[in-house]
Amino acid sequence: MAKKFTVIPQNTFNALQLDAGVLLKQFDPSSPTAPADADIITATTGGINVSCVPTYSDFGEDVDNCPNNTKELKHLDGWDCTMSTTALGTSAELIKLSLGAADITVASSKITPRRDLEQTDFADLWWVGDKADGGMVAVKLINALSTGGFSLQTTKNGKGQISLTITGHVSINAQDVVPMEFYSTDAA
Amino acid sequence: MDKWQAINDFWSGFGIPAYEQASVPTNAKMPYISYNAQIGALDEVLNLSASIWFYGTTWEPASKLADQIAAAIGYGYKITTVDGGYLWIHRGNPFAQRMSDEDPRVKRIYINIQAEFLTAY
Repeated sequence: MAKKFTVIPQNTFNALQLDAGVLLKQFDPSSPTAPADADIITATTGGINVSCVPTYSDFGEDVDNCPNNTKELKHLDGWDCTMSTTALGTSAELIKLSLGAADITVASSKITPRRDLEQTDFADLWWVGDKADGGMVAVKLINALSTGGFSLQTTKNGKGQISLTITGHVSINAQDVVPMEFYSTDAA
Repeated sequence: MDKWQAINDFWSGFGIPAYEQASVPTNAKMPYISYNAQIGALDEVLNLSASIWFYGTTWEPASKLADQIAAAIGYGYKITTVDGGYLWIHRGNPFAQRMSDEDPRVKRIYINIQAEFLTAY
């Protein structure tokens, strides 16, 4: 008997995202060229997790006789947008990034955690990956700040690894802007 | 391009003849590459191997060719189009090993790669 529904779309393989991709300080999706070394935040291991999760309230939850998940009463509270990975680098910039609120003193190669957060601790960053067809998929994390802190794990005969969890933030000056944007382009 | 041809094309892209392991001509002259060919589909990771054969007193030309193959794959992977999808090639582990031979002038480097056909069947 012929199978009608055991199928995949013909463009499946073009759109496959391949390999871990890369975390970048800056990227122009309208002109997706290979990144300069200086723009790569760190080498990573184990891949990169990109997450943009909504939080909803059900305004009908405590209303007698109201069915759960009534769409007219669903309220979008906000979005939690994060990127997380395990970094292999230990550059001063990476340590500062993982600390979040910190300063680098170049002359003494010292990275000092700060007691107060400054607006300059937030910065946009990008994850960019290849697609099978030669296109790319990119995600911009807006007003990113490390919220996972600094955590270095060393191992005997192994490479030191720093856990990174970076969260996007809404600005009070642009409260309707969700702190994550997505781009997906086909091969030129 | 069919899958068998794609594998042949990959190994034939390095300036010396490439033969499927079972079809190396009896009069083949070194240098050449012999490779094992397998095909599959999505989520079937294939461990493919090849041997670089050179004849001489030094390992240099064979080593250079191994480096050339490594560079062609690059740090991440090499991808080429095949009928119905793509051939996705990574370096294997270990990538290259020097092999001994009864004739010390035979310089053979054994190469491992991993491949996956991103195709439905």
